[in-house]
Amino acid sequence: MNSELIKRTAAELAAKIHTGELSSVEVTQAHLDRIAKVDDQLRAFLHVDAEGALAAAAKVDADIAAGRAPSSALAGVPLALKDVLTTRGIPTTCGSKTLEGWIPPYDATVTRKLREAGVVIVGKTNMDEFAMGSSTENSAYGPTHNPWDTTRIPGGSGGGSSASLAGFEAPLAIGTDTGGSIRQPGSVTGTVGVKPTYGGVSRYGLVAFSSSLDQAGPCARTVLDAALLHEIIAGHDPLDSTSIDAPVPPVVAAAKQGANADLTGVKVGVVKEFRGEGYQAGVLDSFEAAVEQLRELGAEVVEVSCPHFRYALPAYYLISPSECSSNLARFDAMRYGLRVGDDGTRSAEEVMSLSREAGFGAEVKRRIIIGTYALSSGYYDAYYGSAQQVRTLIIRDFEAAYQQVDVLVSPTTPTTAFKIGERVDDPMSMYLADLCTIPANLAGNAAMSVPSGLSADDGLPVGLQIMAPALADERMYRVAAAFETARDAAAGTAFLNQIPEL
Amino acid sequence: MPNISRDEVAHLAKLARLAVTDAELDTFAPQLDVILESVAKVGEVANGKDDAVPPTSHAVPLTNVFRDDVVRPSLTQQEALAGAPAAEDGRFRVPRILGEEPPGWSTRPSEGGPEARPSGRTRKEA
Repeated sequence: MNSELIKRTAAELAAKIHTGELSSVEVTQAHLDRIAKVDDQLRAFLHVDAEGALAAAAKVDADIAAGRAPSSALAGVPLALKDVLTTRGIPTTCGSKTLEGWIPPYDATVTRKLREAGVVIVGKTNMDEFAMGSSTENSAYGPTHNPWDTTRIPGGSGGGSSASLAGFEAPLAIGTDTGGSIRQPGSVTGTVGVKPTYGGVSRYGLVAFSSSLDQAGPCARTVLDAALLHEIIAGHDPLDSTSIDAPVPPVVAAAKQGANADLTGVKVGVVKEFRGEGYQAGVLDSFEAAVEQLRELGAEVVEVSCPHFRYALPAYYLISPSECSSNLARFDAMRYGLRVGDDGTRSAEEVMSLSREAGFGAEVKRRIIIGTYALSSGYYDAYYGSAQQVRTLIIRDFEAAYQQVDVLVSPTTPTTAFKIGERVDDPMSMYLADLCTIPANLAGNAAMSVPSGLSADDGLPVGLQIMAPALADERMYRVAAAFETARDAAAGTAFLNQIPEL
Repeated sequence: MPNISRDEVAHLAKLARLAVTDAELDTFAPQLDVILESVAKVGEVANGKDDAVPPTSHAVPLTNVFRDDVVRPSLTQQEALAGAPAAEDGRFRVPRILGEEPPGWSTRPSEGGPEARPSGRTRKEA
């Protein structure tokens, strides 16, 4: 019974909850039971709020019993929330020692919208510290494990959210994507991860890492579930000055249209630069098969060159550390967070330096130092200034590409899930996990990852990245839904049903 | 010739208010050197000065967004202080800030080394 509930899609659960066939409380309890059973192995959650979740579920059930309309299409469905979004009264750590035990006095806009929609927040998920990383190994609270193979990483920074989906601990999750932190975890866990257009989802209450790139988005096991969640969290927010004041793209309608598995009239561009050396053979094979599938669905497929995409990774590792060095200056041991060494003799400067040293992990320190360097007077033009110009060149590449095609596709990440520990001592090799995802962040475009299949060389999931122009998020949902329909029809089962039992 | 020396990393850490250990400097200096070597590739297509390619700081071309200047709900004093490491008399209690020679500001490296961009803040020179 419980195992049946936890494998259902969010859309199916919502439909049954809204007709009264299932209660939100029993659905929520089934997921809490699953978390209690498997999270010792996965470590997807930093905090589980069983009491709050069951209370929220009971409220949805009471509304439905009283004949009131559910507050949203996903009312009553459990969700795992990345621990970088503030939750009033519930700990928010960002995976950092510096925020251990911090209880935010306010909700992020995403959190507020979820609560108002009746979505049941079951807990806060593990992540690389302040969202800096591609494996969750940079969490101060230890790594999350990939449900496909618990010796491997679940991606990062949103590895807790992706693992909670693949481990059937929640049918919905929220991630944040600065350089690929939603899409790469989606890819390596066989789940769907969407980075909406920058400005499409409010950043209010999203603890800032790199403000010009950070974007929250939906994570799920199906394209339709991601679309339903997208429409709940998206929309203009006066509390975020970079929030776009425009209608939310019609992503649910697009996902439903795509499920008809007809892509006639859709032009798909294959990014020429994202293949070849450094890509795992099984990843490329799965990608080629996915492109062939899109062609069979009626899409017109052409190759597109985006020559500056190869400079996206170096530009990103200048821009994001620069913004991070500025943003993380807020952790000064004065207003919140860890304070050490305040013995009555030390100055504020000394206490600040000792507290930041004790509160931040190695990757955060590396990035703060790189950012401080890139913004230094003697190096500003050569590093930060040049990186900002590369950003312009990448936007121009996208503009030229979208003159020719409706969406662009590539592998989401060059390899399948790597072993825990394999890249921790080599920051550059870790950074390469974001090679294909970064251009969309720099340009502010929408992009998503949908499972393309299992890699023939290791049996692990591979992700297909689909990129769309800014505010045309619906295009990628249509393509992803069509692909998903064809993929599952060919396999005879939903993708995640191929995952080994924990 | 590395892109960045151990002494420069130590200086940057001081500017960034990170009391890093000697062991961390031993680890970070070569790692940061590799990272800087790699990110310097941006110089192949940009120089930070060329007017032909304007810099992009933000994907959304917004300047300023204003709201009406009206009172709206905000945190109470108690809520604002709830996460403070130390509070006293309804205020944030901080360590002493006066009568100090800030650590690190008197041990700057030789000319040509990285310096913080002007912040408008008065600095004491050694």
